[in-house]
Amino acid sequence: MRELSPPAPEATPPPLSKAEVRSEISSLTAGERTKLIKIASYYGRISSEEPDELVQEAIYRVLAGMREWPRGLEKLRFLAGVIKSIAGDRKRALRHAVKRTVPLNEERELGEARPGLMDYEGREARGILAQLDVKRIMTYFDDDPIAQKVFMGMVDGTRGEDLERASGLSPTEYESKRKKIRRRIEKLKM
Amino acid sequence: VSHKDVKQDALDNLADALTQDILDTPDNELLREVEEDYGDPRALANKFDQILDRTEKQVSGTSRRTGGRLSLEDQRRLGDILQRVYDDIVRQGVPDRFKILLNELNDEREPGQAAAYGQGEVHARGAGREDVASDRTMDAKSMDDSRRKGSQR
Repeated sequence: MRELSPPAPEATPPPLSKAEVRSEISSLTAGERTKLIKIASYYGRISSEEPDELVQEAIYRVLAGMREWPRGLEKLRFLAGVIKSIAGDRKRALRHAVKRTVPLNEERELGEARPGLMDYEGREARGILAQLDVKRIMTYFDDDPIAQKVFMGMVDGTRGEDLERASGLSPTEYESKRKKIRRRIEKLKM
Repeated sequence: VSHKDVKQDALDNLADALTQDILDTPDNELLREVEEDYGDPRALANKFDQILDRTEKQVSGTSRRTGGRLSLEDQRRLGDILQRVYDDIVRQGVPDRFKILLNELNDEREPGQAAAYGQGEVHARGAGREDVASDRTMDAKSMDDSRRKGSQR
């Protein structure tokens, strides 16, 4: 009796070629391009990075082949992931620089600026610390306790139906609340 | 987990949630919002096109030139690292032997002030040269070691 050979592992499809990547990017609709700019603005806020810079770097990495585009992955989700990853790298680098130059007092409120820091990294530190105050953002929803509740769920990482259920709202009301939160945060100068 | 880590995760979660909302928002609704905010529904799409144009030039310029240029992100990260490395050196201040050398240069320009330096400084100057010599010895030794390691491979 012949021995059975183990089944061959499924071959991973090759990533998109440079020409395919170029074609995917040039075929983005106005709505999709708008979405990418908005997504970069959200991640720009956590990394103290200019949104334009995040978008440029993401496109650069993808077009230059530094970041492979897995075949079959939805383009907006993929590009949003690249933007998020770059912002994460920048945030970690910045946090490292801040730790070295700005000895943070754990007792101090993070929203406060440390006086007397006039160096480049100090300014960067102030910038990121000012952005970290979730409580401050909460105050922009003082007029709407349900929106505050949904917002807190968002920052806690509760997602989808779990958050919708926790809010006690109907699906339509919940969608409307999420939109209100997003629109208000977009207009904030954090 | 420190207090600040929790807060940073909170903002990460917030960015993720807003991103999900944007991905779920129909294009036409989003373009209406952009029109409301900027007076032109294509304002942000046009901004993207400008960035894309710049980036395409950057990518084609890179492949024409060297094929290995660092990205903006890597350039900045490298700059951060170098700044941190040299920050430490700057904080160490000017070593005594350099101060003495600078003073000696000043002395040559103003010979009348040469007598201002005492015996202790002359001794320190000697010690400084010793340090330099030992640095050179170490450099030569480490180079020698690395050559030896290389030949063993």
